[in-house]
Amino acid sequence: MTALQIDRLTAGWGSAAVIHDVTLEVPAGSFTALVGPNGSGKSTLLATLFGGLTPYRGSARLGGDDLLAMPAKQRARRVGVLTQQPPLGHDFTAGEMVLLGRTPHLGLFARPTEADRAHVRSCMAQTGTSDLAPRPMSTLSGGERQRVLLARALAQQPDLLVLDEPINHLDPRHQLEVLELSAGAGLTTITALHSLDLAALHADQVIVLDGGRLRIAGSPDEVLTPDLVREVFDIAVEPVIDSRGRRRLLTMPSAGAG
Amino acid sequence: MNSSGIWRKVPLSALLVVGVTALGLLAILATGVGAVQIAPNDVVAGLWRGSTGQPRSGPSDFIVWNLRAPRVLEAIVVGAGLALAGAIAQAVVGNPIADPYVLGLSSGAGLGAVAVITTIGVGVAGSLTLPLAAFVTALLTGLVVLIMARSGTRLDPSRIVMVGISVGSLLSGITSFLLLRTGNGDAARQVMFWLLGSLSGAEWRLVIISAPLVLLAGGVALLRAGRLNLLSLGDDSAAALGMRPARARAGFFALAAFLTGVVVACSGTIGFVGLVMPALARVLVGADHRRVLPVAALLGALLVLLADTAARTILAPTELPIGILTAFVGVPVFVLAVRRQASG
Repeated sequence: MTALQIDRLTAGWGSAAVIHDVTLEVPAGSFTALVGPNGSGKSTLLATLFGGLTPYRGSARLGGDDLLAMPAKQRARRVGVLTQQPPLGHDFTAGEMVLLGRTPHLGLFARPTEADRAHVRSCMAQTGTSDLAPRPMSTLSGGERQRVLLARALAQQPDLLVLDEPINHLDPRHQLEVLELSAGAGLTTITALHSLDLAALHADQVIVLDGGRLRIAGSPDEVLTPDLVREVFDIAVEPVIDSRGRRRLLTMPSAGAG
Repeated sequence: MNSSGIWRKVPLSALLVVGVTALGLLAILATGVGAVQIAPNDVVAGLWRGSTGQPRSGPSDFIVWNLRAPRVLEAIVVGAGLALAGAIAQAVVGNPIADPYVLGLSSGAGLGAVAVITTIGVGVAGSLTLPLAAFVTALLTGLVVLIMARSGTRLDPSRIVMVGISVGSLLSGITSFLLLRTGNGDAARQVMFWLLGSLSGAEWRLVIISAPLVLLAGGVALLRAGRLNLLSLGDDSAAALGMRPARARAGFFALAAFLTGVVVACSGTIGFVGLVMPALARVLVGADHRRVLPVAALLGALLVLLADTAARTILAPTELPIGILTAFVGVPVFVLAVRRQASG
């Protein structure tokens, strides 16, 4: 198990910084939810972790190793990634797509070995996608695609799982399914999430970004208070205890809507 | 159901053996076709005597070895090169709509050639001047498109397409201007042939230069096919899987420009091969570039060989520009492929 430490990270696209001096830690093995309004810098922060973006300054260390200075291929063996609705290329099959997750482990021209294929099979079994292997990605439903892409991220054999709003555009059942599979992988995980309730339900730690700055980090109970949610998201929430005794967050209608 | 990859299960080696055999047989038949019909066994005998340097045994040997064989081989080289350039271009921008035309490369090569035809004149310059001019302007155009599409450290695929189309239009405009300005009717006819593509200028010297270059570029692309796969998934996925997308994209773009330059230098600009054959290859063998590249190259070679044979026989002794024939075959095939994919 490896912990992720981000220290005073400042990053953006072009010359405009989107996140400013963000310092945070994702404890080893924890499932950490990154929440914040649109434009608060969640995707920008996550992109710096997998090499999608080079930050202006600051550091990100995974188990003590400098993620930002790491060669791309080496980093891809440490960090597995799932984003929302990524392009699918020229229609690979699900099996081919997951096999692409082995790329960082292959030599310059090397073809995948039987061990690589075995690993791919186990990742597909873990995400319940074995039966989808021969099907082109374009024929899969949104939920099936995200499970296949999660299998691809797991096939990277990473220490850290980076998920950028992995359940957007999915129906409620698939939202739960993808989130539970991700959390169940047992890896150090940081995931951007829109649903505060799902963050409260699944996360060990919740990190709130607001205007590109870290607002607060801590356990869901400490962080997701009605006051903070009103300040950051400009909505009212009501904590409730569900029938299984878990603290949930109910989004309330705005005052005018009664 | 999506039908892409209907031969996905067939081993690549089997596809290649069948494809190469079919191509070889067609090449022998095509060499025999023309104003003087030559039987396949005489073609083979003529090719044997020509390639081993034995004395000719009659006029048919001259036709086979000196006139038709280089043309048939050049058709194969050009077709394979165009299809490879198209497949690479499509991975570079992650979009099946790309080809050497869309990226402005063909127009660049066209401008170089037309500039030579309408100014110096082909007759005056050495016979390699025109191919060289086309090759150099294709590479320069590629460089300009890359520089203009770049923003910071990023190289956005849709910007490459937009810049490529714009630069291509500009260069086509200049080409038209050069064409209108020239009062030389013979030059105008040459230009038209060149812009629609023709292999009538094929000679051994061009084959010997272009074939190794296309093979080399194809080999490089094939060895790096895994990276093309990643690139086709877009920047984020490519980066996540351990690649630096902007750098790889620039490298592959340069490779596509190189291939386009070599091929257009030999044959003029032939449309649709680079667009259609990679699409058809994907319908047949799926999206993996390890399979798409060789299969597309074979299909491209087959198409151009057939089209060129038709171009020199349909209205013989008049030659048709080959672009007309590739369009006739290419467009229906492409529309069909797109429709099958869209119905998935």
